[in-house]
Amino acid sequence: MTAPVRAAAAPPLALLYRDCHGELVAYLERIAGERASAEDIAQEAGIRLVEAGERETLANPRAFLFHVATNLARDLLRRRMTRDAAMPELASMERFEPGADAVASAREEIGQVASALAPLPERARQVLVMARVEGMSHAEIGTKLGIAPKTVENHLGRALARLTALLGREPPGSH
Amino acid sequence: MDVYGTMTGRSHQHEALLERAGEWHARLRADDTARTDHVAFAAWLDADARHRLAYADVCAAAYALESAGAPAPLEVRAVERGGRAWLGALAGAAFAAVLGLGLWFGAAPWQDLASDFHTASAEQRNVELPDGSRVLLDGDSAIDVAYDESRRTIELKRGAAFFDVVADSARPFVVRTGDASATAVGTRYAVERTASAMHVTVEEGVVEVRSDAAAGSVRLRAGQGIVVASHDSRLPAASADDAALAWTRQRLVFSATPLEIALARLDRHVAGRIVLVGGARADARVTAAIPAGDAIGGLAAIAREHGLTLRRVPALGYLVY
Repeated sequence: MTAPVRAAAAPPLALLYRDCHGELVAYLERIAGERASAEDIAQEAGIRLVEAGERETLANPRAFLFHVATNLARDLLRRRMTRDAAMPELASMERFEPGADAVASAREEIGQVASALAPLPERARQVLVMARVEGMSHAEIGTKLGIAPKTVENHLGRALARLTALLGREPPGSH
Repeated sequence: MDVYGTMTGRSHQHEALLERAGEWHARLRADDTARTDHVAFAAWLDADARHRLAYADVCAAAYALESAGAPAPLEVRAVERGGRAWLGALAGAAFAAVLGLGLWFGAAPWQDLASDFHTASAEQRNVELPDGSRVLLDGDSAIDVAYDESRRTIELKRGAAFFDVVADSARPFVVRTGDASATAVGTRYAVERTASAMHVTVEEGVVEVRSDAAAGSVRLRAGQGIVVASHDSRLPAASADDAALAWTRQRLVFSATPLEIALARLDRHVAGRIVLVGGARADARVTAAIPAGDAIGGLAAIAREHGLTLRRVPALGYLVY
């Protein structure tokens, strides 16, 4: 019995998922505020990672896993806020599809990164890429740019906020 | 606007939340993060649901940046610091916008948070509705109940349910699966929701089936069944399918059933999820009779028979490929 060749990429991503699982659940628990949803979301994101890996070579599978999981958690948080704000009987009127949205929105955001970075100040782009893409510590970035680590942190915080705002999400309550 | 282009005015509050979330993100990844930072961060998250969402938004942006900035596979990375060259490299490294997912079964378990009744995998549950009608929920299934003066409406959000309906000619009993419905006055019938279709099987009485995408309706009588695909503009004819009710007797019976459907039914009786990777052999046909209590054994046998590999992944479920 031989597995189809195209399935060969599946097990490594499943192993990556297994290795990240504890960290992913802890991260999601912090965002969702409770454990049960964190575990459900982690599992869902793991499945989508394996599925996506079947179709393409992911540039950064770990970031993709955490990104999709984050987007599933954002959906949960938004639904929760809507439900809490509405009349209780409206809770059963909630409709959500467990579809491809978290993956689609992750891809959309990844596609928008380059243009969202463009309007940022030079220094902001530098610290963002050094910190998140090249994985440099704040001290390393500070040394490279000749600024204090605390200044790096300040730039990073504001640059991330700006990048987030530019990634095309409508602020809640704006419509 | 300042040098960062921070907005003022209408979106100011949202921008301020993102700024705070960005600060936390950077603080928690600093070289000198203190225990007190983590405590203060947890308190900030707990203070307001909008804080959680803003932080999650910032995390998503950071992960998007990591993916976009990663060197594209098999491409030479040419990033020049300080110039605009790396912008082009980023764009080049972005994912090809190839969409299209494979098959996985079951649905987001957090549907349960908003469902009136639901079951876990391998659990069946009897529910009595306000009018005395009874529902048997299959494993990993969920329904919402909405009764008013003119209608009794059940939304089957996922899985399968068998309905034993108390007759009430003034209030039809309607089971919906998103875009299709099965209406009864008084009868016993089962409704199943799969990824793209509604399956209805009638044990007793008459059921009228409709779809939002198709005109007219089909009347089913005892022993008849139908599979209504979501976007079909014509309703198919009724057919006989005794096996479709086997789950109400703790058995899973497949008779030339598409592999995709068979796995979706098995999934409801297995802890974890069953994923048919890349939609492998999705159109293969399965014929088998499996005790619901041994769904994993049945899954293994089906995989073997179709030359597929079955792999268990901890904390996820089963991959079939």
